[in-house]
Amino acid sequence: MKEDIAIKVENVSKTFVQHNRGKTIRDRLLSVMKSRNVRKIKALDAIDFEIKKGEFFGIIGHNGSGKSTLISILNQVVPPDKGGKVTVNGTSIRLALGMGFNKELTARQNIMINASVLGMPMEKIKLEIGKIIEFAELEDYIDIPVKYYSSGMRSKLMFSIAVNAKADIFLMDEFFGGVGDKKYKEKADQVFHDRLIKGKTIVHVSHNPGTIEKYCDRVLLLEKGKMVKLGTPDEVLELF
Amino acid sequence: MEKTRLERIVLFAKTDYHLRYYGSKLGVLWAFLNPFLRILVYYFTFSYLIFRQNDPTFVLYLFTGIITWGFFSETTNQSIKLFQKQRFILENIKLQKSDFFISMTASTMYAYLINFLMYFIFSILFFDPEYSLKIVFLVPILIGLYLFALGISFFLATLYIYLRDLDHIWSIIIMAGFWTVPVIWDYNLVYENYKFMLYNPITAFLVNIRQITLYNEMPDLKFMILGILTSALIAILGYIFMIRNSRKAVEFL
Repeated sequence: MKEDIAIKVENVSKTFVQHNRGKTIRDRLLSVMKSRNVRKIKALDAIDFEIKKGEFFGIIGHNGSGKSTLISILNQVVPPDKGGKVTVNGTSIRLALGMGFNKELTARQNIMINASVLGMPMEKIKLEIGKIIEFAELEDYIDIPVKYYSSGMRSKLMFSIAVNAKADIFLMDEFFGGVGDKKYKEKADQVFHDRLIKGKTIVHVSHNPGTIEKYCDRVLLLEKGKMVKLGTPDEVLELF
Repeated sequence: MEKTRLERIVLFAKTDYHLRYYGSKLGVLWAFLNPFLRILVYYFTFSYLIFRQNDPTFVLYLFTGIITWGFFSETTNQSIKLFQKQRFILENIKLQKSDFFISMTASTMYAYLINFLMYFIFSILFFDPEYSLKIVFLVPILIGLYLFALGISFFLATLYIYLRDLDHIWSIIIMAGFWTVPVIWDYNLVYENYKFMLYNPITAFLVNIRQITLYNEMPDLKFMILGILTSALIAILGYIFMIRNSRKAVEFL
């Protein structure tokens, strides 16, 4: 793979198979006599593209177009169908608001776990945990379980952890900039820009044309699992 | 191993331990109270109601049996839904899945070791037992037991991806397994009538733990070593099985 390529996607398809044999031992035993009834859903169909290092790459499409499936495949946590290949140069993580928490744990414990998973050494976590808490504006609630948090508080927390993450490639699933009130949003947008996206490879998935137009260098338009268009935001958004 | 990875495993293990025992009001106390109460129940049932013989050291016999079996059943029960529990991490970043297994089993092992410590304190306070250097044999035995539980955990967690009622079935197997291992009944029966049972690593380990802690005798080296080798093999096979079959964990769970 060429040095300046961050992600290379070759002939990637993804088929989800549903069959009537069931997912339990009981169902499997009961369905021995039944004929095998398989339903295949093609979520992605022969996708090919490359993302350059440092590029801000957008993926846009309506609900059910395969965006999130593609992100999981790029992140290498879901394997593509046989014949497809994804090559990733460096480490990657997926960021999505309101995700990545164990709701039984307190915010402080969740910060520790997430920061550790995102590759921060323990010394550094201990040093920076204060900053993360302060930035999330959650000082008073930091030692209560996340299950009692509002969705806004969760988003702030996730965002605050994410800007400290260490990875070469960020896969953002509808994860963007500020959340909460206007003042916080402005502050978050600034930090988002300075710390998270500057000089890094970003894959940004959205069904919102606004952010795509503002940030992306190139955009891929997906429709029912197929590539419709790959080009500049202007060219692609015209078709969306 | 890379330092941040080791730190991560330790952090996972601590969190797992915390979640299991600090969740309830009684907190960590529950971790000790639970086996203690079970020992009491079995002690009174068996020495007063069933066998009607009053041998006080039977408490110690039960103690080692119940905490050892408890470790195995707790570890395997926890493992079944391990991928589902850690899904919130698995779907966001590609990590070595074995990290989750190592940390979960380390946390249950830690609880087991604390129970063992309680055993020593309890026995010294009330029974005036004899201990010698033979106690170092506990180290390889506990390593073997750990590997066995780890290996079975690899299998269970991976199978659960495809068989979603495995937890119900496993609870029955655990219940039956309890009676195939000399937790309550006399292990001399194994040597007299059912020697083949010693090929079950847990039976071999439990018999040897008692040789050492109750009677201050040499462990049965043949079955101890065999048990450790079997356990190591199961851990390796379980690991390979998990790596090969858990690729679709995120999309199936």
